[in-house]
Amino acid sequence: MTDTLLVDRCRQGQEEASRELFRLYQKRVHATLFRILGASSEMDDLMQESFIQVFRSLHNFRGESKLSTWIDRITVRVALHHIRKRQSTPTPVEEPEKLGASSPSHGSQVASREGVRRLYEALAQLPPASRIAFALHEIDGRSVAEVADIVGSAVSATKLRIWRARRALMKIAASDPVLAELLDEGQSSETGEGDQHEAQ
Amino acid sequence: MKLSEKIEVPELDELRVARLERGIVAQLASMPPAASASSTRIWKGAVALAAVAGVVLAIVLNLRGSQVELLGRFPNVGETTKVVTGPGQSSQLVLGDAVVGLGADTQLGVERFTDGRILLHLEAGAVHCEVAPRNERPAFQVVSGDVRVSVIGTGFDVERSEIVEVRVQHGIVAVQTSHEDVRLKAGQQWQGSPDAHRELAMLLQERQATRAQQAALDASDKQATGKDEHHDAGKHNKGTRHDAGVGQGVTKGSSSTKTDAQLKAMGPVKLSEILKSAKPLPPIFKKSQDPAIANLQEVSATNPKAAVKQLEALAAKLTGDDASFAMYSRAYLLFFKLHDNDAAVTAANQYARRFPRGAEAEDMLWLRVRASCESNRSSTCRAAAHTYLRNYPEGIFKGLCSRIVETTSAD
Repeated sequence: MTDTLLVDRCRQGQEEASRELFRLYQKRVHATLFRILGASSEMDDLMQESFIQVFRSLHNFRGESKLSTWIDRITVRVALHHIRKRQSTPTPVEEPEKLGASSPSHGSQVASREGVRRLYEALAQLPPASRIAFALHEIDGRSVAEVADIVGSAVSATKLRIWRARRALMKIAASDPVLAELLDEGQSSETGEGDQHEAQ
Repeated sequence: MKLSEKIEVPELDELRVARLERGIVAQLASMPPAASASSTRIWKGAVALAAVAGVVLAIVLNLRGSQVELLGRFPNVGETTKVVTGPGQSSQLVLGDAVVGLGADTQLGVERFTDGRILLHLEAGAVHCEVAPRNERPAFQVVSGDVRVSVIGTGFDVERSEIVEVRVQHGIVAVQTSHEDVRLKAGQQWQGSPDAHRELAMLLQERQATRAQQAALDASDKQATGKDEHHDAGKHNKGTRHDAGVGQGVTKGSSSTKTDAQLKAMGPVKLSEILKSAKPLPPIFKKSQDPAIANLQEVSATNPKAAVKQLEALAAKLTGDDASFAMYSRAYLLFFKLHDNDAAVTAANQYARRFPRGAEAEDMLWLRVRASCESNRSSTCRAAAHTYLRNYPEGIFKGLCSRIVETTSAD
């Protein structure tokens, strides 16, 4: 069934169509939220919120973009709301002493997991728009143009946000070898890719 | 290996998916039916018609619930119309000769004046404006925080997130803030802080307070060495944080008119300037009820290293307020007397972990910012400023921390 037909059936209030749309896009929504936010105990709530927003807004879907892109935009907005809400409530102070607690010697898998945890800890310190742009581009692997389209910003502003986020992370990584290792491994191929995006 | 390949998204198990599906379907069933696109267009048409007829707009478009409602009567001139769009939604308003497109998740106030002037208040999100050349026409302006965009005749976007972005497609707009006045032509864009005025005002106020507080610190040092014991301490303590209370003596007595004039003369602010203008934290010994801590005041003046050791031992032994004072005083001595930035950061972290909501927690987070910044570790400095802002978004050092974040991210 085409997206347009599915959307029409959802608009008519057909429950089966709503279920079908959910099943088709649940993995995508989950992946987008996960790559932006990392592991979160509120993931299910956020997924539910994203789909409710999707169904509420379906009457505005004009088919000018792909349904998947349109759903991505809504998902990113939900993630942005979540980040802003989290930032407005006091959070415990991070413990820099813990940063040196584990090292790559614990095994590469553990180090990698720890690196990912530290990456999201570092990302939480960035402005929400930069964090999202970086996550969509570097972690979700989308092009700068695609990220700009999803977040509704100019390509130049998106590039600037990604660049600022990358620079901020590298600075944090300067005193965190585990994070540095994760970023270094990702960096070698990313730099070239970043240049390709800039040329688009 | 790319980051995207290193970060695996865990699979959602079937039970979880089924539970989510049930939850969503149940929630959809309890929701009112969505308004159709055509009905939205009808209302938009009505809005346009009302505007063309010269009737003042008075509708509230609440698109969050997929409903377009006409609430109450048409308001008088001077009233503000609130327009809100939800995630993934967009809308369009026709305001006389101007067409305003609203992006998703936008909050916009539309104000119309007796002289026909239109003022849009962008609280969040993005608007795209297509406006006829103003020439003899009433002014059309978009205000977003501290930023005012005046239309000279153009199509342009204004977007507000942490920053305000103005992009001009065609024509010219004027962008004004408390410290900037620029004209943008087609193809140009501008970015700035929506709170620049407030941040600069706070910086200026803190600068004004610095001298008094430095005097308070000097007086305290003199007091510790037995000179001018009573006179100076009583005279200057008004400027210190613990004796005057949070913010008192820092924000008092600066009129906004004077601030505006001085702000304009200030120009851009650098990290070094921010730190220079930061007021020192006061010593805390005299607040403690524990005689052992109070006695350390004298020790700290002659042998701060010994005082730091004793305070560490006391902090481990004591509880409650006295422990809090001991830890605070230790961090203070490490930073201001021994100039050991790393140890001061560690001490401040220890305080913040033990007393995350303690009376001095805010000062400790700020001390962490200062110590990190003075070590010239800009990433740690910026991270510390972020942490401060996260925990105390309205804290007394908010302005300085915001500037640190901005300054270090722009270098």
